[in-house]
Amino acid sequence: MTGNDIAIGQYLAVETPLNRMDPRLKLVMVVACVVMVFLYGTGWELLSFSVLLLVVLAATRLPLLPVLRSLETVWVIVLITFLLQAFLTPGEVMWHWGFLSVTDTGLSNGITLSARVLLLVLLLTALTMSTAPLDLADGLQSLLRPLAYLKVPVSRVTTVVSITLMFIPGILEQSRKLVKAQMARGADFESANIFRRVKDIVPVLVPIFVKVFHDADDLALAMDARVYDGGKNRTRLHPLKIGVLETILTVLFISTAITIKFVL
Amino acid sequence: MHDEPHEIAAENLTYTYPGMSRPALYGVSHRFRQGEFHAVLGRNGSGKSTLALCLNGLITPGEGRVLSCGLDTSVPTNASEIRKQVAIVFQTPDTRMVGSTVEEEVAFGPENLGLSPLVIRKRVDEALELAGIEDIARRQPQQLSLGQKQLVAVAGAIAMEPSFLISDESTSMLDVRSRAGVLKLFADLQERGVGIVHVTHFLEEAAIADQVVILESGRIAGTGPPGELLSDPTRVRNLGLDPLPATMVAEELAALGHHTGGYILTAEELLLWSRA
Ligand SMILES: Nc1ncnc2c1ncn2[C@@H]1O[C@H](COP(=O)(O)OP(=O)(O)OP(=O)(O)O)[C@@H](O)[C@H]1O
Ligand SMILES: [Mg+2]
Repeated sequence: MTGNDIAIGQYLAVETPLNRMDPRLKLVMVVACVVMVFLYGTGWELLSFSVLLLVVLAATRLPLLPVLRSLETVWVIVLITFLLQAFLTPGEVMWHWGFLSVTDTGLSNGITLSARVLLLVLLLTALTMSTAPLDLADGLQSLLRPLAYLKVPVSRVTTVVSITLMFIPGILEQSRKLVKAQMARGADFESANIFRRVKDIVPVLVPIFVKVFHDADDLALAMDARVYDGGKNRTRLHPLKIGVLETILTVLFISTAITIKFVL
Repeated sequence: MHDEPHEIAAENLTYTYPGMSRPALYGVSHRFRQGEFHAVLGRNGSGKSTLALCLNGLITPGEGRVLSCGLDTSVPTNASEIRKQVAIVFQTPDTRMVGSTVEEEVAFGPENLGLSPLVIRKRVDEALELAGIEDIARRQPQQLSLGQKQLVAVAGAIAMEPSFLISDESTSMLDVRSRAGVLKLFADLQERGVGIVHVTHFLEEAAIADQVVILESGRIAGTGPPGELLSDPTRVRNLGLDPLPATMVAEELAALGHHTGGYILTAEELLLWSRA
C-alpha cells in the first residue's frame, strides 16, 4: 500500500501497538495533548512536543506518511492563520510593504498558532487512523457515561460522533475524486488567482455535501435497523480492556508532555 | 411477544416521501406470515424498497398502519422491539457498513442486543457459515466486492436471529452459486419458522415463493401463489421481465393451438403436461 491509496483519517487495520491500545486510553491521551498544545506558550515548547509526538508515533510503527499527509489538507487554513497573525498583531515592525507590516510578536504568534493547528490535526489523524470508528464510539460512550447522570444526552453525542468519524474519510475521498474529475474538465485549483480557485471549488463542494448527507442518512438508518441506540446497552464481541503496560505508558507520555511545559 | 399473531400486517398502508406530491405506496394491504416466503416483484420505482422500510418501522405510514408481530410501527416505543423481530438487508449494502472487519460488522447487531461475548461469538460464527463467508471473516468490509458485501449484510441480519427477514434485492449482485446459497439459507430459515420477505427482479426466485406480491406504481397489482401470477406472460412482461423459459414454451404451444391449461413455470411442469 502506498501513501496515496489511503484516505486521510481512515482507520488503518494494521497491527501496531497503537491499534491494539484501548480506545479510552487513546482518547484520554489525545485530550491531554490537546490541552497541553494550548498551554504551551513558546515555540521551543511546541517544538519539543512535536519531536516527542513524532518519535512516539514512529516508535509505534503507525505508517507515518499517511498521517503526515493529513497536514497537506489543512495547509491553506494554516497559511491564512499565519498571515493574519503575522500582519495584524501590533508590535515592533520588522518589515513592511505599503500599508502591510509584519511585527515580531505577529511573527511568533503566527508560528505558534500554525504549529498548534498542525499538531491538532496530527493528533486527531493519529487517533482516527489507529482506532476503528466503533471502538472510538464505544470508548467515548464508556468515558462519558458518568455525564448521563447530569442529563447529558451521551448516547446521542456518541451516535453523532461515530457517524461523523465514519464519514470523514469518505468526505475527503469524495473531495479528492471530485477535484480530480473537475480538473480533468479544466478546473484550475492550482491557480494563483484566489477568486478563480474559489469559483472552481464551489461546484465541487455542493455534490460532495449532497452525497455525504445522503450516505450518512443511509448509515444512520442501517445502524438504527440493527437496534443501535448510541451504545447504551452494547456489549462487545471483543470487549474493551485496559492493560497495565499501556496505562503506564500513557501516564508516562502525558507526564513528559507536562514536564516540557515546566522545564523549558 | 409470543402470544401475538406472528405476522407483519400492512393495512391500507400509504406512504409519501417528504416533499413529494405522489405517494410511493398507496393503499397497500398484505399479510406476511412467519414461516412463509413472500416475494415482492415490481418495476424500478414501484415502491418495493419503500415497502421493505415500512415493514420494520424505519419509516412510518402516513395513512393506514403496519403491525409487525402485533406491534404498531407508528408507536415510537415499539421501535426497538420491532427491529429485534424484523431484520432487514438493504438494497445498497456498501454505505451501510459500520464494523472494521467482517466479523465485527456481523457482530454489530448482536452487540447492540447486549448479549454476552460468548453468545455473540456463537451467533457470528453461525451466521458467517450460513452465508458461506467464513473465509473473509477478518477482511475489511470496504475492501470487499459488492456481492461479498451483500453476503456480509445477510449474515449481519441473520445474526440478529429475527422472526422476519426482509431482503431488499440481497441477491442482485451475486453469482449463480452464491445466489443459490442465499436461497437455500432462506429456505432453511423458513423451515425454522422465520418469515422471509424477498424483494427481487429474478423471476425464478419469485417462482419458489409461497406468495408473490406485485407492486405497480405504489399499488398492489396482484397477490397470490406464484403459479397463478407468474405463468401469465403478459403480466410478467408488464413487470419489465421476461417470462420463465417454460412459460414461454407453453405460450408458443398455445399459439400453435396446444393449450397447456394449468400454470407452467418449470420444465418439470411442462414435461408433466406433455406426458398427460
Ligand atoms: N428518499 C426518497 N425521497 C423521495 N422519493 C423517494 C425516495 N426514495 C424513493 N423515492 C421514490 O419513491 C418511489 C418508490 O421508490 P422505491 O425505492 O421504493 O422503488 P423500488 O421499487 O425499490 O425500485 P428499485 O427496483 O429501483 O429498487 C420512486 O418513485 C422513488 O423515486
Ligand atoms: Mg428498491
